[in-house]
Amino acid sequence: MSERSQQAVVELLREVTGEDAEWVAGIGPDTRVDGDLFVDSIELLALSARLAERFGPAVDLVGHIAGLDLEVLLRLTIADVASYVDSTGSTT
Amino acid sequence: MSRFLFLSLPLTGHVNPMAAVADALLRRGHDVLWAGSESFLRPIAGPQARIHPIPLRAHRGQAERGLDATRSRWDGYIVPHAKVTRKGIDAAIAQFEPDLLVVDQHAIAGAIAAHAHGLRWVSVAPTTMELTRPFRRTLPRVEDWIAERMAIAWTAAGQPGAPPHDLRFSPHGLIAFTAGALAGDPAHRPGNTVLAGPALAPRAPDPDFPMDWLDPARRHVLVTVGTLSMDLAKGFYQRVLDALDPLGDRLQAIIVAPDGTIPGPSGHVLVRRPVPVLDLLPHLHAVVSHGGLNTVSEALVHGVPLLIAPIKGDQALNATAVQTAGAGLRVSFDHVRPADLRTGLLALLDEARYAAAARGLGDELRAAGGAEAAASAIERMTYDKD
Repeated sequence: MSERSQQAVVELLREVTGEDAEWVAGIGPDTRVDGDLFVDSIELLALSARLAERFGPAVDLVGHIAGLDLEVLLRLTIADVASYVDSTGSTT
Repeated sequence: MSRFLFLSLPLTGHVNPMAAVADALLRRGHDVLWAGSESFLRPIAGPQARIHPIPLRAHRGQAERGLDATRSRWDGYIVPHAKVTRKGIDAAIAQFEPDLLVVDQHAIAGAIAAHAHGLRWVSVAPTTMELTRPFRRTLPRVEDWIAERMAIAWTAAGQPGAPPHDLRFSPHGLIAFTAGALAGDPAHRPGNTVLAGPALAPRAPDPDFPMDWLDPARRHVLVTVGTLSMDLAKGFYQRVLDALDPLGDRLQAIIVAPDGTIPGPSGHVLVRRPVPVLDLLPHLHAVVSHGGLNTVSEALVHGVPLLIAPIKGDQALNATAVQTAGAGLRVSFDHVRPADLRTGLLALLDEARYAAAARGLGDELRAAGGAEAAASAIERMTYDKD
């Protein structure tokens, strides 16, 4: 997982949730998207759209998480999302 | 005259609208029997209600947030509840011989019993989540997991094979206590859905509530996060208190919480539980809420705009629908700052467009017909042998 994609994921999440800098400061690679941040399905859709805007249409977060089981989703971290972005080979 | 067996779970928000529908059916000369916990149902369904008692153990505490809340709702609550109530429902059916079962989407033992006894049944949607099933579109494996839970309950009840369809959706029809923009995209719900709007019934009066505390020269705000544990609500309530603190010259606030759980409220803040919400709503100018469907509908029917901090389940859907319609604002339950709460609240109070949009949504909800429309739909579903 690259530092750059992690920062982008957190920044775009901040945008779609309407949170602030203090919220961002509390997020690390191991922060869980569901279990810690309580990002809901509407916000996930918005995050997916922003990631595609930033990194290109090869990044399809909604398509990716659609294949994940409940147990995996419960543990999904910021680092997991950033690693997925990296795995698509997309760059800004 | 027909006989209707009502099945729900011991959850106030689920049973309140069903009780209003039961009353409407009784007034039309029908018979209604509830099967469930008498100690829970009696205060809501009323002294005249017929109840086939099914003693219930207290269930384990549920996770309050996120997908963990979904998991514990099914694994820790809905599936065990189905198992514990099955025999009692069978006995109620044998004794009462109902023409139709009226089944909360989460009371899946009722759906299973309807199949086992070859009876017609109608589903009742307790939340926007179960009405529109957003997981199907964003997290389909979570929806698959829920289907597995229903299959487990089906098999545990001794039924052969797999459930013939989603046990939350009767082929005979679905009644939802919402309508209009609040009900979401029509494409997301089954074609046999009847949107009845909120089914409100007069609730027992609360003679102890100090209605004369309300100062007609100031505006009035209700703050409620439903039945959430106080542990989780504490941080949010503290930020609401900080937001309200300098506003005593222009408003009074009622916070729904057990007395003493919120330290040192100012003179313009009243902390109480329970609160006669329906009696208070005609006097309110804004509601701060978690966005549960009942609270949202009741506020909108009275033309009161909402500041919504969603916590779990369908609350985010309700919050987004209200904000999109201009009838309120959505804020973060975990992170919203007192200054932002104050700004949002003052906007709802000072900008007439919010109350106007709330009245618009309220008109849509009322036009759906409420308990009477639900009762008519139930009568149709009983006789239409389609």
